[in-house]
Amino acid sequence: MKKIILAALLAIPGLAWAGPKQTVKIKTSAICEMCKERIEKNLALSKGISKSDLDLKDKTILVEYNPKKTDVAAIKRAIAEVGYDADEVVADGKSYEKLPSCCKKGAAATAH
Amino acid sequence: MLIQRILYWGLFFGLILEISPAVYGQVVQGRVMSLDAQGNMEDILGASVYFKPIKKGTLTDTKGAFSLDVQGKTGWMIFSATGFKNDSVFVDKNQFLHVHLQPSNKELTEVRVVATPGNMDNVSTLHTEILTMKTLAKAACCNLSESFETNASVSVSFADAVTGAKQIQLLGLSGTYVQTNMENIPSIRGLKTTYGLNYLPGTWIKSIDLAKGQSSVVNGYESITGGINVELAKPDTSEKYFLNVYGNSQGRFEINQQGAHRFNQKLSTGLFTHYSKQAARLDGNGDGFMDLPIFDLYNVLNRWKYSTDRWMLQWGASYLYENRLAGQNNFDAENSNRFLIYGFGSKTSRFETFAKIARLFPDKPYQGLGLILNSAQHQNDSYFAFKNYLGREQSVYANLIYQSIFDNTNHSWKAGASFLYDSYQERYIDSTFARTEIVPGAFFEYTWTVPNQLTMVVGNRVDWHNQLGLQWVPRWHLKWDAAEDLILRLSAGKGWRRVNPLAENMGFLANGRRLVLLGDLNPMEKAWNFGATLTKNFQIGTRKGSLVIDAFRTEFEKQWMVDMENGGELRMYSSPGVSFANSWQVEMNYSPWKRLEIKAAYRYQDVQADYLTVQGTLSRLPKAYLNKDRVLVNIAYATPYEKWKYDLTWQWNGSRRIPNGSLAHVHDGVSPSLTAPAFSTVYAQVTRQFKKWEMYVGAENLFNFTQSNPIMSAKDPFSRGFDATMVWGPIVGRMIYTGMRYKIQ
Repeated sequence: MKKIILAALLAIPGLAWAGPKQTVKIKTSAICEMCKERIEKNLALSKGISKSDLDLKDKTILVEYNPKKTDVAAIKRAIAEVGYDADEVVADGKSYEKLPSCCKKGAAATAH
Repeated sequence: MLIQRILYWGLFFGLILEISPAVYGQVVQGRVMSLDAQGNMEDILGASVYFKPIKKGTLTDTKGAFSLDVQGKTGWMIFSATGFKNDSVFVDKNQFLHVHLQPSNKELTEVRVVATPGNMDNVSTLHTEILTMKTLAKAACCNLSESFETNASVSVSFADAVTGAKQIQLLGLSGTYVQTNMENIPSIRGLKTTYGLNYLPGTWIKSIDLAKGQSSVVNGYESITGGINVELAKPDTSEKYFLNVYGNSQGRFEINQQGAHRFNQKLSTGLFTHYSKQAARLDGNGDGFMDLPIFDLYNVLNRWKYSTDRWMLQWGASYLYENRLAGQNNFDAENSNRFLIYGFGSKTSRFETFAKIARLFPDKPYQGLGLILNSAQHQNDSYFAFKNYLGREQSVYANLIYQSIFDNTNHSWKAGASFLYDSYQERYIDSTFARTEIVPGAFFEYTWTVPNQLTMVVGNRVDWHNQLGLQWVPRWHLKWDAAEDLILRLSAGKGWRRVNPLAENMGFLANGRRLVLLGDLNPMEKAWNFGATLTKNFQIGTRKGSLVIDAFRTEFEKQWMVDMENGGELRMYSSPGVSFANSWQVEMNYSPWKRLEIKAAYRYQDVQADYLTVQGTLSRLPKAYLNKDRVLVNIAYATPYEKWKYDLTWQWNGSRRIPNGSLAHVHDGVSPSLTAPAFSTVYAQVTRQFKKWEMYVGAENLFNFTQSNPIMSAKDPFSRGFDATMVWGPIVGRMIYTGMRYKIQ
């Protein structure tokens, strides 16, 4: 039992840091800090992604990932699944409907 | 790799180019919006924006927008607006700030952006700690009694080595002096006192407010050392479906399911169910007795909420059934002879209904009218070997509260009336105890506020008790914001309660001692509590921390004593002399790095009371089973977006006095005391979050420390020397658990 805990404590998070890294830049339909947090959180919990940073100025997100575990298409799907466009991939309709009002595209006009 | 670098640098320069004109102007712009639990947002007009380094501020316009010249400085920018929780953001580069303030009602979960570590409530006049879901998830198992494992103020222990009932302790005194409310309805009282803490599943809890010292007169007269208010998950803000499954190495299994449904904007309902089972008969210390009772517990709650601008109605019903069995390993409830094999059994059923009706005045937010109604039926059938106990309670409670202001919101008041009807039928062996309590009462509480400086609350209530007569309860609280990050609080007040000699001390029946009830047929307890606390919030660089120092004294005018000082006897009587409890605590919370939080606390308690010797004289003793010193350290770390969460708690409990349990011992006032040794316990937990669910693995009592002989004369349970109540340390050893939580939003 002790060993299981030790393994949980040490080994598993270690795996997430290992492996080759690649980065990709994706244009999104994010608008505000909340959008940023939603997308980054979802990516953080997605397989093979070690880091992501969304820049609200140009709405692009820089994603660092392990190409052995995931690919650009999967990353784009993960963004779309939260309710945002990712380059050519269109936001998932259901998730978009659930977004807070300020995160919807129409809000962009009034937000700034 | 080269391409990446170029990308990074390109981005970097891009940023510089874009923000440089703003840096030149040194003006920070942003927008302040409200964010409620449903995710709705609106611009906040007139929110205050204050930049600490230059001591200047501004207000937001109709679109929630603001701009402020920061004069090139970096530091904390503080946002506040009436009806919302304060928030702050560290401004070090010139970015557009999006700030979302949460409404200040307590139905919400987490303080989102930047919160002071340690969860001290900086706004409340009472010295209050808020245990959020995040805090509660640190110790994933299982019910309210275990919610305080990472808390420095509250200790939790087993009442005895047989029944498995847990008790809490605050300011050196037992949990019976803490008024435990569920959504402002007095909850753990009467016959529910015995196992009440075990009966509230942890996953149902949204947050816990823990107020040390006297609490408000609005919720009644029974609080003496503090108030705990538990908020449960609300149907309109809960997940559609929530599932929690838990299992541990000692053979306990638990499943919690919660469902919520919103019919429309106004009406919503929630259905919460709980089932838990201790299946394995565990005897780690080999004394022939189960270390934990085996049990089945079913618990279900259905609640409804209807809310409009003018009305908020909440109502619901809950039912619980529990069957507990303990005693010798080979005891069988159906077939064993209870005169030959020691067995303990307890069957409890409880049915409760509640309604809360609030009338709101949208154009006068300071005004409100609320009515709280609650009814409960409680049944317990127990036996300790051949000694049977039977308890029945029926209770009805109502509390009407009106709040308004004198002239302006700096002078607000609450007034109201309460009514309690409580009927008890109890039988123990061949004695019957029956009583009906009828307690009408009225209260008035005035709050004087000097904005950002001083708050003073003066409360008075008068209750008439059909057995105990007229009782007056004055309470006084003061909060002084001495500096922006220094808060001083003072409190003084009185509380009283009718004692339930058996239900509150049920665990003490698990021994061969002869029960001796002396004197008073209608025992009551009455005490004053005085407190002073200091909260200092500090920053080292951009990292926040807090230092909390508190000191409390409880002085009993009357106390119901449970005296185990004489071998073979359990004596209960009204305190013949002095009884007091002093306690002070230092707690520091600091977050040295992002997502790393450290809590360290030291607590000292000095609790003494006069006991009766066999000669009838008084002898003052430190309270038995209570350690003077306690240290608690908690370290919590999370990876970005809480993908992984680690939590480690270490508790050190100092040595404590225990009564001399030998049968021949007679308490004559000069006999030397016995001491139980100091011990440590360690708790650890790891949580991994996935997109829709999370999983945790943890351990309790990692160093496997146990009291070696929690039951005296365990081999001879029908002798007078048999005693399962001399418990000072953990009864069960290391326990490993795992569980998962699954959510559908």
